[in-house]
Amino acid sequence: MSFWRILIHNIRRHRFSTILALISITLGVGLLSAVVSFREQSHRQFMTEGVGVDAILGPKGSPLQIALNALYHLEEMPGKIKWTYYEKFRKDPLVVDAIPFVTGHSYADFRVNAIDDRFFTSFEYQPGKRFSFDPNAGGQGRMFRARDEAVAGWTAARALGLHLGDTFNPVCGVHSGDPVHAHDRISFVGILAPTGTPHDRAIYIPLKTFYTLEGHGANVATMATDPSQREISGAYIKLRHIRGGAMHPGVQNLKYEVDQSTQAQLVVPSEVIPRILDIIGWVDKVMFIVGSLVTLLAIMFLFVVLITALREQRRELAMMRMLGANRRTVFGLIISEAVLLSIFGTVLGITFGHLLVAFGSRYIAVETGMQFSSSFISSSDVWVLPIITLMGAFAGLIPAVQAYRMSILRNLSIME
Amino acid sequence: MIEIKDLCLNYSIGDETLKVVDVPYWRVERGEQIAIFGPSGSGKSTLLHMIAGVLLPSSGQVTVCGEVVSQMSEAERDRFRARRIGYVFQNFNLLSGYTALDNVLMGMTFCSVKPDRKLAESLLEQVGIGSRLRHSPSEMSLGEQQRVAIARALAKKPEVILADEPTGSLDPRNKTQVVSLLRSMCEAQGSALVLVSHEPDIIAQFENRVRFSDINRACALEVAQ
Repeated sequence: MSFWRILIHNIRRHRFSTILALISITLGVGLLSAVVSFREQSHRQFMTEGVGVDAILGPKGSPLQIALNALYHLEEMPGKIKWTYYEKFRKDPLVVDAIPFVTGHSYADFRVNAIDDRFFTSFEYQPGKRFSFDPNAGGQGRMFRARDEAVAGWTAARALGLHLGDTFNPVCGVHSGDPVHAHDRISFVGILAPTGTPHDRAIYIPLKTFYTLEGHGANVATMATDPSQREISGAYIKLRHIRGGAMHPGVQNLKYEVDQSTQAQLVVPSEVIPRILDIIGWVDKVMFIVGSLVTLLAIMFLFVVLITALREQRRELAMMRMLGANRRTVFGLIISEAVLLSIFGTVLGITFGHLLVAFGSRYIAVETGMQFSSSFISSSDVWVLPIITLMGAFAGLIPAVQAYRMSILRNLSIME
Repeated sequence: MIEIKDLCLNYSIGDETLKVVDVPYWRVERGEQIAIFGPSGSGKSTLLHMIAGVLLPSSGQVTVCGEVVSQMSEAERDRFRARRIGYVFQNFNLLSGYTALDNVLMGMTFCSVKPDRKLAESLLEQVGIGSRLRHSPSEMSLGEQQRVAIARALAKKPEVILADEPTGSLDPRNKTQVVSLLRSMCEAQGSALVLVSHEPDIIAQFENRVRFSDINRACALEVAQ
């Protein structure tokens, strides 16, 4: 009888409570693991990926609202900016590229943005990465060329079951009940290959189409022919960088000038996004606390399981001592049981956490356009195992010490 | 083999000290089989516990196979018990969740020799449990359980077998059979056997028998009072 066989035997003797303890640890660790994974992946996407722009030229109003609308297709733009101002700004030597867009339309809960066609040819959603229609990458069709053509982001196309040639009427607004442009039938000519960014969850129509949609009124129709009257929601801006990738020092002056004007502001996502993270931060703090509490309760339950099991096994352990097992052996049996269950529960929990991410990512992708990977290795995958193992060993310490100190004779009840 | 000198065990109850065991000198030779008899509660089992190193005396010395048990540390006594002592209890003390075979293997687990499955099976054959290797104690009669306990005690081939009222829970037919089995197997292995009992018919089976009050002055004192 090896030490491990005795250990497995002991665990099997109270398998029902052991399974419950394992389930508790699995749930707690799974929740923790999923929360940390979502947090780290979303931070990474907000901070380093999926932005694709150095700045957004937007109207006066909340910079946070502008970033959410322009980059994440949430909220609404607080106003419009004049095309003439955009043209003037675009000519600044510090501006490398500027892609104008108009937001404020939707279709089946997905935003419909009117955008310059350079969005598909020169815009980099990540450094060095441009949109693709390549079927090998998951795309279909081509970019729009005519007024009544549209391109769908990958998530939007998938969620709506869109095919090339399908048509739709854009809604004038982003709320349910907003009027539909009933006379403007637009057909899909392209579906973008997935980018893993919020751009996947929008539908794009040509910029000029916005000005010619029926029902917008005479002033908007004038914008189609007279650029001096034209307005846009904003523009994605690429600014000049110096060697080493840092922003050109003159950019601060440019931003100051734009911000001081009465017409527009320059929103730098890297300055605004941390505020978004602050806003959503409380959610993952709460989730993290819940996950930690569940894990803590699971460890406490493990302690109860071990204490109860020890009461049931006192006679057997005393008998083993009588047969020559030393104190360290019985101590080791209890501690090893605690550690083994903690390790096993944690491994199951990490696996469960990845499954939660896989399950949740489908819904989050549809709701926010953000892509989460179940194979992402978060920091919790590294620290949770040693920490839970240590906590498990700690939970086993009191029962193990009791086993270490127990009297052979008293527990065998053999004293005359 | 077993040598006891000036062995005393006292218990303190409040301000009073109660002397339970007081053995000036007693000796058991290698391979000897001896029965100690006396009334229940006279300290016979306590003497066995001190020989096995489970209980330390208040004073005096217990030497087994040249090793002074009463001066050993707890870890040394554990090792000593694992190597040299086989113990048979009145209530068998089999490990209930294990099979008969596992119980016998457990008897070998903590000594330095690797558990020998074939030896364990052979011992169970010898005690008449060969067909019930995979049965757990709860599936066996009391007589069968005690046979498994005897096989377990002998599994590591100890120099000394201590049997504490081994027939106390058995019916008359099983009592005789179990004691005969224990004696024959100890003889075959060359192990010394010290059996304590209060049952005259069990004691009668031994040529060497000792009244406990003859070696234990504390007991004699109590009898005299």
